[in-house]
Amino acid sequence: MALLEIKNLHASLEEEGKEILKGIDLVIQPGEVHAIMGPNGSGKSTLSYVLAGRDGYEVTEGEVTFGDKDLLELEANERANEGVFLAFQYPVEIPGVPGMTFLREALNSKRKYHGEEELDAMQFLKLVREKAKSLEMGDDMLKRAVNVGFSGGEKKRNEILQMAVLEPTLCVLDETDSGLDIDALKIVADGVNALRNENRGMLLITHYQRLLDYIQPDFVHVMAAGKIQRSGGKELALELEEKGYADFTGKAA
Amino acid sequence: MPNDMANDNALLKAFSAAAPFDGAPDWFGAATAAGAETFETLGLPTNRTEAWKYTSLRGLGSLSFAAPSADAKAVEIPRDSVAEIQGIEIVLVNGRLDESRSALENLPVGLAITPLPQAIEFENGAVKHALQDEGAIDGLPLAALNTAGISGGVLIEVAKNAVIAKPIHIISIGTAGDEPVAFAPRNVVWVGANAQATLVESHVGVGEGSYFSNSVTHVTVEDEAVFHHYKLQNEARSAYHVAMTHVTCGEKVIYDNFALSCGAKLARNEIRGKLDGSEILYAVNGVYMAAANQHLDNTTFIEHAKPNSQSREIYKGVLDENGRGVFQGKILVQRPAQKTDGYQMNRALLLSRKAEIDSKPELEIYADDVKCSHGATVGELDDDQLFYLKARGISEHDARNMLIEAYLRDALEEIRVDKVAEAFGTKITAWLAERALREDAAS
Amino acid sequence: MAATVETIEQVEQLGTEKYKYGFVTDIESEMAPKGLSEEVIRFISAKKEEPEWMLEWRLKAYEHFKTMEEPDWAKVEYTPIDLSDIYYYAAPKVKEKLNSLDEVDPELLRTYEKLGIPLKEQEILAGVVAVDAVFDSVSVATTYRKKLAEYGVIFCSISEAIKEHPELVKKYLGSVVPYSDNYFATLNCAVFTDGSFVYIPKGVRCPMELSTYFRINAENTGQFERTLIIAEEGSYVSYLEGCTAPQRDENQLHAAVVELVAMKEAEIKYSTVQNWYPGDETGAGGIYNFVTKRGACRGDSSKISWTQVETGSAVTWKYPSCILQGDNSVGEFYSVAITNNAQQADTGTKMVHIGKNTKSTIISKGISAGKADNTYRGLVKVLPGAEGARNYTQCDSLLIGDQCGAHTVPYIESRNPSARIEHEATTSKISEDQLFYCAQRGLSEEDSVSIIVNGFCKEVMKELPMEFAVEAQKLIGISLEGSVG
Repeated sequence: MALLEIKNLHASLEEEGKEILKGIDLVIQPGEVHAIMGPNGSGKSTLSYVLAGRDGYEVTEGEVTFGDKDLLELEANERANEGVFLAFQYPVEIPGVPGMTFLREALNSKRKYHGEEELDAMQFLKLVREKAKSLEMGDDMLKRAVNVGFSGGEKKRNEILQMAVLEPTLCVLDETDSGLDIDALKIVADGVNALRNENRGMLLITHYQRLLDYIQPDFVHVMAAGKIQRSGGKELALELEEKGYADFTGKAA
Repeated sequence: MPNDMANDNALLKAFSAAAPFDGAPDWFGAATAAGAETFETLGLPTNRTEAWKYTSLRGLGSLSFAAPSADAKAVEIPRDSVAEIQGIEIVLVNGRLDESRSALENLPVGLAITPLPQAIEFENGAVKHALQDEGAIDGLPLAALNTAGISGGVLIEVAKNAVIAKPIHIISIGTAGDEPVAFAPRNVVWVGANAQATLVESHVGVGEGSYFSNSVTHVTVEDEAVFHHYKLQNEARSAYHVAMTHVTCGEKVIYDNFALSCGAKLARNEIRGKLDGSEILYAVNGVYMAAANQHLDNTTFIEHAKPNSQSREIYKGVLDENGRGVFQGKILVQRPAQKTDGYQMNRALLLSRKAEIDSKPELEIYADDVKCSHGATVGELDDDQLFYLKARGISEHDARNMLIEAYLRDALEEIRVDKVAEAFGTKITAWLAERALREDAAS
Repeated sequence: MAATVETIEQVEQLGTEKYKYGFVTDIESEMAPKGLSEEVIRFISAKKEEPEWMLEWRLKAYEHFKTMEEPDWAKVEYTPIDLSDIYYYAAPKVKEKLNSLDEVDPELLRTYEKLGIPLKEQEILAGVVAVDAVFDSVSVATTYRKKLAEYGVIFCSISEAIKEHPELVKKYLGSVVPYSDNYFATLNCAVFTDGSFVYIPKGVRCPMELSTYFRINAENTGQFERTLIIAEEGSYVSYLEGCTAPQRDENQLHAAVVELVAMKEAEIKYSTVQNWYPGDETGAGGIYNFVTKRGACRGDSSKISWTQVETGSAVTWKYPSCILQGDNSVGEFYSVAITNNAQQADTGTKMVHIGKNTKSTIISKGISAGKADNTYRGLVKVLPGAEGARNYTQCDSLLIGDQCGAHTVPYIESRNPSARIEHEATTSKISEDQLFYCAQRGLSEEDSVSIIVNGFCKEVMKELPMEFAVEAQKLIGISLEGSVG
């Protein structure tokens, strides 16, 4: 069974009625890493939001199955608890809420959803410290309020930490490389690579090829004008790096 | 109470007697009567009224004012006191238009200036609306008192799409003879859609005596127009100055107001703005400088009625000797006014042990998606800056004066018309020089 | 950390809890005749076997009260209170004077157990909190008195203090909030029925948290309690106050007066978690909470700190204040006020700087949801002699939904050139982005709101003693139920 199967997905902005996704087809099998590349405004981020269940988008046609579930029927938090994780391009600040408190709340929501025992404070602390270490995140960063006063790199590392703790089955990484210098990018990429396994699927959304030097995808898709225009292996990314998106948009990008 | 009432009536009489509007249409008489009635109901405000908590007009009630005589036209314009700009001048003496010294003809294309009595006679829509608007006097005793006995004024009309480069300059002169006089100027400004203009008001006095200027100005700025509105309040030091400005802005209007207040014994500058459109940029700013026996009040009310507009408000004050400053600012965000961005700040420096500042910045918010903040600070000069200057060899005294001047002049950045900023800067420097002389004399 | 962790557990139970303190205890009460009159005041005073000077003071207040008018300046609207339709005295009937807790009506003890306030000492957590329980008009039990007495700390009901420590009561009662202070305080002076009294002798650090738990039970009763806390030179006390009331359709009046006196280098920390019944969604019923709380920092370097979490009441009208008389004295006010549905709150503080180098800090967090109105009203006043006075004020408002209102009305008055006053206020909402981010991490909408609001209030919550913090955090979640979605 495929991990994620998107069939002819059409989605519009609820308020303006403008169609952004114009028929997306994509299948991700367990263990696969897919990259979606495309110029700005191609609908890449919209795809990630529609998968995660953000308000403001209307699915007008098509279907999305996640394992044996109809993903579009689920609320955003249910999708998360089923194992869909979105690493945000712009992680949101939540003043006054310590990162640890937030993450423990999230983890226990998931455990409760699956009928598992919730972790107590000590068990949780141990778990987080372990995961944080490999991302070079100290206790002080975990105690700070969620994303408040974090640098771009810190925010992205924090997203990967949350991913590592919540152990999703599908990771959607939206422009995770944006705003990162090369050292931070390496740390983040190592974090992501460490999470690759035969059961987990990943969808990397990126504008540049740079991220793919560090996280090698199995498949690359080019998205433009709300559709996947071409699919191929990782060599496609290199080709794009050379030629740009002009072939797909009709103008130089 | 009976005593207060008697005082109120005396004031009302002094104003009504001044009214020069013989043969005005019936609606005008009705408006005047409504003003008198509202004033009688409300009475002269004291600090028991929340809106006048820090500024009581009780003292006014005990003075007996006479209506100004008609021959005040010989009064010279005190050029030292008014803003030094080469503008299109309109001169009011004790509230009455001096037509001989006012530019009523040969005006730039798109600009019309009409004496108020004529505009009333011609049933001008903007004037009619201004005088009949109950909202303009409701709960506002002094505006009602003005309506009850308007002494004169002008209608300024800027035609649609017109760009008037030269500032329009209203010079309102109060003269005090043997007996204190009371007068009530009323000016109406209408700025057509997409037009641009600048209005400067100079309120000044001649002589040492007392007088009471109680003015009301209506400003209507139509869609996409730009209007700069600046005011210098430099009345005689024993005068009372109460001014109400009603501003209404349409879609995408840019309106900015700056008031420099340094004159009068007691002054209240009140601006009530209604942001009745989206994407308006509205600013009310000012500087106030009070010295011995002066009481300077800036009161503002900003109503955001529609979404997506921005309001900015920064006032800065210095209070010397037993001068007293008052700042009351309120931002009201109505339910439909989502995405409002409002900011308000009052900063005050007390320069003397006898000075006082009272601030009341207020927010009243009914829309949930807004960004509103306000602040108020009262304090001393920055120790670090002071030390830095002293470390460069500047004496404490000079360093303080430098920092005070910098602090005040900084506020002038908000003025969009260079000539006006310069003129106001000169006034600030002069005020500080006067203060330095006082200090020298004392030491 | 422990507190936050526990909180999350508590927050998780939220889904099932509404106003769980809304039950009525079936207990026989003894009441004064309905209405306000000199006879009723004499009745109360006689019931409490008060000395003559106390009665005289009450009557003096009553005479003054008759000349006063109900204030209307607060931004609250409510059905006027009919003072003639209130029972000013309601007490659980007891046959004779109690000698020990064992003789307290078991129904009463059960009530406090249901409220989570055990009155039997052995049940109280390792003896860290001593409790004075006030039921309707009278104090029913004060725990740990013996242990406290060893330190010289007096903790008893004010009725007992009037009889047993008249010299202290006479000296300090009305010395911070005089009998003529304001409409509701003056009413309280005339008819107060009970409350707590605390005296901390010189140099003593009170060994446990002191706590009063107020409960309105009887119908049509007003609760007029009076609390007086005196901290002598160099002493310290932390005092907690909690309140609940049954769910009733009509409004009930709570007009308390709290007076604090801190002498040289003394410190009083006063925390309140106010959870009076707020009325239903439509605004029917609920408590009118019109309270006068004021502390005097009489001595040099004294400190008074108010922390309040206000989630209940239909209408709240309170301004815990500090009179900073002593040089270098410090006043603090930390407040969370939550209003939902038709609740209205007009609350804030007054900081009056009189002494040199006095400092005050005001942190106010107002949360408004449903159709509620929430107003911060505060005064910072610096008198000419307050050389070097400092104030910092921060008022943040959070709006949830587009039918509510948030208002900030600060009054800032300075008459000293060396004083520095800073006031900042902001208004914001819970953004869609924040809610989506939480949902994407698996949190339900209610949990998301609860965690975001608790984060917004964090600076205040951390001032609460541990025992109260958990309850308060839980309450925040409960009071905002149904406010989104």
